[in-house]
Amino acid sequence: MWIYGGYAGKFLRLDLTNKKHSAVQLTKETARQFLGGNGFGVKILYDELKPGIDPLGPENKVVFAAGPIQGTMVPTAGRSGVFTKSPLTGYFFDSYAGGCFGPEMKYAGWDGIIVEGQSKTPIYITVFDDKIEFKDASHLWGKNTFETQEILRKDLKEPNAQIACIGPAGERLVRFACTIWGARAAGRGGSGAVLGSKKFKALVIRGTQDVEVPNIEEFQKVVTDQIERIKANPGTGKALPTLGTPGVTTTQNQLGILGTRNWQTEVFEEVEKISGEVMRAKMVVRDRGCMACPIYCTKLSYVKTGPYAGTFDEGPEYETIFAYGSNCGVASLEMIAKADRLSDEYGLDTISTGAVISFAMECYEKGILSKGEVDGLDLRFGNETALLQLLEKISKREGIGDLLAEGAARAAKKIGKGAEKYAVTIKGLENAGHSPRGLKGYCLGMVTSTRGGSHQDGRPTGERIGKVDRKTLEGKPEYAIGTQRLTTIQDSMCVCRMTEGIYGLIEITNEHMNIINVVTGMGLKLPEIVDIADRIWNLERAFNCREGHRREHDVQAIRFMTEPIPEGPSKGMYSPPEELEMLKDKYYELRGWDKKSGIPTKETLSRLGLTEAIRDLYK
Amino acid sequence: MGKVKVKLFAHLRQAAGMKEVDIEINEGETIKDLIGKLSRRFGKDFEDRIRDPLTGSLAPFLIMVGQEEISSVKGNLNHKLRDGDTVSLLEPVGGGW
Repeated sequence: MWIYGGYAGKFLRLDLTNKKHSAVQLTKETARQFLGGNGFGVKILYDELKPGIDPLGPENKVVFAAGPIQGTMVPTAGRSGVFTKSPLTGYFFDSYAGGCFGPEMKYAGWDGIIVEGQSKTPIYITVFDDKIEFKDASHLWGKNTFETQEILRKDLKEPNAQIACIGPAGERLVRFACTIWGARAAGRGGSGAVLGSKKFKALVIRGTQDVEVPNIEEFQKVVTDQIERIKANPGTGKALPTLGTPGVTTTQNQLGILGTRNWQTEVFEEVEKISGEVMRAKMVVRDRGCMACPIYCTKLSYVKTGPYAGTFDEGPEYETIFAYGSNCGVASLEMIAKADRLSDEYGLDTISTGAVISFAMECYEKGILSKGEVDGLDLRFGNETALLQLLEKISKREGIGDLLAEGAARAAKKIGKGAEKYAVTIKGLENAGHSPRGLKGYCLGMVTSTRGGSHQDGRPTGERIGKVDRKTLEGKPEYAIGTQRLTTIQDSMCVCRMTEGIYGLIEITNEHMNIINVVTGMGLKLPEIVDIADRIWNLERAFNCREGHRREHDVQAIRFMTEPIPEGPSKGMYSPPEELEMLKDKYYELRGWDKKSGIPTKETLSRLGLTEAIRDLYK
Repeated sequence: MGKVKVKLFAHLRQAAGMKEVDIEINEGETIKDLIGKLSRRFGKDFEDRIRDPLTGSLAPFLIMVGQEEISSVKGNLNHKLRDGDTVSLLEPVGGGW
């Protein structure tokens, strides 16, 4: 065992420019201060990236990182993250996926892999324990993500290898191209485009080593107890195994918070056609779980009849049902499955892709984009054929797809004519499928987050299930901070959000502490874990402030600040700027950030030991 | 005597085998009483989807009486129901996406 349990104790550095690799030792201090995953990602990128670099240039880096629990049987330990400077936001970005990639990286003896430089020709890399090889990927360039994985497993005679790769969208630098392993997507933020800019097609991993914990009996006791509780819990034991994330679709609509037709409204009149219940009955052929996870929330779908017959899809998840369904005015689960499948093949983030398409649809319907400007497509909401054609054009950067591949915010700026109002983004990232207008705490969490329009920092769940009142402002800064601390620790352990019902829904709990300690043996106290979360969060903020981020950039999408929800149970709700500014004041105060600039104060950075950030931000 | 319309969502529909059901209520009966009646009517699978059998606690979810939202964990489950009310039981999930 390394100094602490769970860790491999080293990172692998891959220099694509010089085709060289080296090992970087993990230090005891870094493990204790940044824990893993998210923490490692921001620590490495803060230290190694110069501010102002082009996210799609050779100076950017991509970090794959796991946490201490990956490779163990802790429920949901199949998860791991991808970290980079995002070509969409220009800020630090972290995105995660389940599956088995993270554990395999640990079995190969690495806590993470740093990809840097730029290859002149397409390349893939094999990591079989300590044996690293740089290989020509010319024959893979242009192949979709599933073809790529299939070819590599066959050619390398490694049927069980874990492969992270990009599709044609990443190769063509679509700014919201993602990284795929298996059929799981580290979807958001454009890591696929960054890898594409490096001509990096795939990372193939196979490992044969153990992940060790200090006391196996104690560990097994904790894990057995967790599995029992996961099975009994109505959420993790019943709801998610039955319908997966699509189960929430009708609930969102019933509350009047289901983004519809580019968020013009939040009630979708045809929701019953795209519900999790109908999906289960019509399409689901099998349930699937990620490594070490007893929840089995993934649904494998097969379209049996109609124009999309023969489509086989892992998913769609709720976010995709929202993105290609209600938010594009489409009421066909079969088309959503088709669009999801194509997105996975091309390596496109379904949330951002759906969002740029719904943005284009609204611009078209409002006369901002003419039929001629959208390559003759009839881009009215609900037009399934046009949606699929546009998706393809985006992946190829063809015609109007080239403009939309820049993301909604950049496209809107270029289009002008008031199109900015219809780009539903925060900090350049298209908003996920939860309502900032109808969930006040979630709204603040998003606005103040590093990533922007993500549902992974501000969290919608606590408010949606009534643990926190979604309509009032009271206590929302505290709620936003509590959930951000929670997600930061979840993402540093690399456990899935689906554990929230067991490990803690609105804040870090003793459950997180117990898992961290039984795996690592660090003996951390709860306040120390909260400090780790704050250290990581503040370093992310410092990264962004170093890029020029300030208080005025912590804002919602224009629509959510100016247009109340027009109908339904949440009618009248929105987030006017004065309300947000008031909440931000309190939030900054609690965070220890300067109210005027939004930069963490020297005292805050000093308390967390972030001297490098003091050096950079207080020159 | 009166009647309330109960609308079910997500996996509660699977367990009940229906999207909505009319339930008879007596004068003064509450949401808590209604939950008991639903559990008796639809059986253990339904009960296990709204209440954790290990802890005996209700899962966190929103119950809507008309447009009024009542939390299963911190709301007033003694809220009295009236003849003609529509009660929606939203998806009980203690975590997620």
